[in-house]
Amino acid sequence: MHKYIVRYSKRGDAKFVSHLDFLRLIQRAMRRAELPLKFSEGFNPHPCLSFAHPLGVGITGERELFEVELTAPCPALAAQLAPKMPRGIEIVEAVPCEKNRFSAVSRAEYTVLPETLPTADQLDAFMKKTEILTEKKTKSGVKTADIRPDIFDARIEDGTLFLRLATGSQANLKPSTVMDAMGEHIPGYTPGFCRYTRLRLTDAENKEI
Amino acid sequence: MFEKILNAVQKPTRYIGGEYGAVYKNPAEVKIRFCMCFPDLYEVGMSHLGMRILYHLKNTREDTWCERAFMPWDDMAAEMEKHNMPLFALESRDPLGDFDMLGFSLQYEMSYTNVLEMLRLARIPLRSADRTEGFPFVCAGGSCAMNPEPMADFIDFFIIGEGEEVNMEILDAYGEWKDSGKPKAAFLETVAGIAGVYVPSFYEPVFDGDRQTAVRRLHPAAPEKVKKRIVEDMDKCYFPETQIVPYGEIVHDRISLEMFRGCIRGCRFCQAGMIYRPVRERSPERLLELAEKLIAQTGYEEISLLSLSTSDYSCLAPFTEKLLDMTEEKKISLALPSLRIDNFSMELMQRIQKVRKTGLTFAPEAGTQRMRDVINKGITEENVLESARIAFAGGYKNIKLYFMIGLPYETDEDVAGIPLLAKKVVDVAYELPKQKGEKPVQITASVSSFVPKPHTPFQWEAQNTAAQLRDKQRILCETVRSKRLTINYHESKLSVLEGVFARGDRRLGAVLEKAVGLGCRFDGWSEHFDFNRWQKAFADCGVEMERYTRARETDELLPWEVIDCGVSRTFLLRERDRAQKGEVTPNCREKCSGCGAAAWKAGVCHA
Ligand code: SF4
Repeated sequence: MHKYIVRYSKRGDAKFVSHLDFLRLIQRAMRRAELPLKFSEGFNPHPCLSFAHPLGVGITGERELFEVELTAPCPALAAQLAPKMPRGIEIVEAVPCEKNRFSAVSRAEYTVLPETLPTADQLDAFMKKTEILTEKKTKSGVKTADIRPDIFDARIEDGTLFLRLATGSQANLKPSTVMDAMGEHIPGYTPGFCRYTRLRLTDAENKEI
Repeated sequence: MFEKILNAVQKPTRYIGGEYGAVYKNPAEVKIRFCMCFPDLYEVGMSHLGMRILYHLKNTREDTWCERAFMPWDDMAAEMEKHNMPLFALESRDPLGDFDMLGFSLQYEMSYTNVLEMLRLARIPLRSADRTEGFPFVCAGGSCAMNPEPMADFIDFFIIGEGEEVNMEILDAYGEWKDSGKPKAAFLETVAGIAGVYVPSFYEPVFDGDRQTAVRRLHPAAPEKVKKRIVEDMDKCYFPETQIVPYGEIVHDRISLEMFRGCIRGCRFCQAGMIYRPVRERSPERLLELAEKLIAQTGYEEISLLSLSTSDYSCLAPFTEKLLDMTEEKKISLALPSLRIDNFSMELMQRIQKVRKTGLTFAPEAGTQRMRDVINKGITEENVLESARIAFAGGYKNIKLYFMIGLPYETDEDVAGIPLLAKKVVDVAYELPKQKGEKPVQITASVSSFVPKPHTPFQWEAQNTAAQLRDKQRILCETVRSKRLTINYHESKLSVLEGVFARGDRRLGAVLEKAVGLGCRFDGWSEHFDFNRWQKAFADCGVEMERYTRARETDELLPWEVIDCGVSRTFLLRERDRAQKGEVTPNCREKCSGCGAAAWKAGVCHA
């Protein structure tokens, strides 16, 4: 068994491809690249892939990653795969890996470009709150939750807003929920239309996965 | 702004383009900007093989960039209007008004309103006469172009028949015309001289009451009749070896491998069986070569064989054997639609799906032997029951049977024959030895309403009214009851309108324009279809639907007779006569019936 971690970016309009469609897209790209794929068992065998953490529709990804299983080593994996991708998806690297660390994902770093940035003072005041109650969409419906513990960092950097948010199976906070909360809790502030980019996924020590 | 729009709609991937295999060129380096327009959603249009073939074919030309546009769903159309964005092509995102030529694919009468709506969203005048110099040419092709008249007011020229050759000739002519700097009329004169092109503005129909009595030719370049084009040699015919692989799941999300065109059977209700004559096959060698290339290029996990009747491919057994060797090795699944159920196909299915048993479909089309003879569906009740026996024995539990009501010369007894036959299929299952704990069978009879189509032996027949169809639907439901049997039927009002446009004349242009003004679009989608609006459109224009659903006299000039589909009127009349007598006509391989298609030196007629 030869496992590889493939790191890729998803930019431009490709960010509108949903996770499910993206999964199918990668499976087909893998077939196009004529790699020694390991297939699942069953009626409809498909390449064995697993993704670190799905990227929401409409969010750009800079260093997203998935794991693929091959039946033979493939040192040229990245080079073979790159030309088989649709517009907007680029392969950053592909490295062999014994065991992935996907289960360690606990945070993600984002940059947000809203129509209007909050001022440094406004952001400060927002972050100083001990509790930020807001409506959060979950699988079971909309509920009010305190999102403050899930915001690890929020600062303005080079004209964009940097966020470090809880991500993964334990706690998960979407950047759009944070922006909605800012609009709600910062007096006189409306973010307007926002563009989101996920920079990378990290573990609890902020080390990249 | 576009990003904002995409964020606000349900399925943004319908509108972004950029899929693997999509073609991008530098607009400054091409002479002709063409946009293929499909008057339905992306997932429907991208499932249409003809659209894919012509897209890649046109893009093989260095002088042309061919792009795509689809009908946006309500949410997108509303966002575009809100942001003042005209309808655009997926690749360049340029508005359709900037193109040299737009080509609409007409596959279904109920998508005509979408054609008009797409032009409106693109802010292009709907009527050809209003598209002055500077507006793109608007052409159309596809099976509905076999009766171009209802759309004649809106389309500059129609492409009749198969498009592989004629499209290229048109683009050649366009390139020359563009260099010449002549007015639009000069280009229309040129294309009118290309075989297979119909320029409606060069013809003026003459009406007397319900009937069309004559056609005045207004230009010497316009031929008396426009004969459809065909590709004579399917092995030499272009087929794209690279194809677009959409992001989101489309209706047919797989490789379609076209085995042959035409059908040997000659069912009398079937337009496809008449207008795609003669049968022309691709060789197994060419098909295998294409399969291999397409699997490698697209990465699709499924391949489907495409034709009007898979079982009639002349070397099906050896071909599927080889194809399966290839697909099994590459872990690709194979779909075989419209396969007759017999011992051969069961063995084949066993090999294809070693474990899973999905449903099977079967199309007896009519419930009684008399009616099946009328429509020339050459199967007997015993054929149907034997197929069912084979399928049940092979472990299949769900069988779907396709039928039609509203056929010519149909009696209530024929209608009642449908549920009776379906019930006999259920009984076949009861006769077979039962295993313990086995799931019971489920039979579905899907009953559509017959619509008389141009260029068929039934083109002269009266179409059933919505009330007649409803009565027949009642018979369907009341004849037998069985828990194992489900009977589905379709909205009869939609069939009536479909029939109106199928056999319509040029006077329907005004009605279409009115209907679009009243908000009709996506009429093939039940959530959109609104018969009241249509009734209003017809009433406002002073046109009665009955004019088009009525029986036609055999001495009447039919509005679509300006098109020559290769099958002669004499043959159609002869077939109609045989239908009345309940006489079956042999298929093209058993005996040629002299339909006229042998004039081409191709296919089954010269085998
Ligand atoms: S000419 Fe004869 S063989 Fe050819 S399509 Fe017509 S009926 Fe069939």
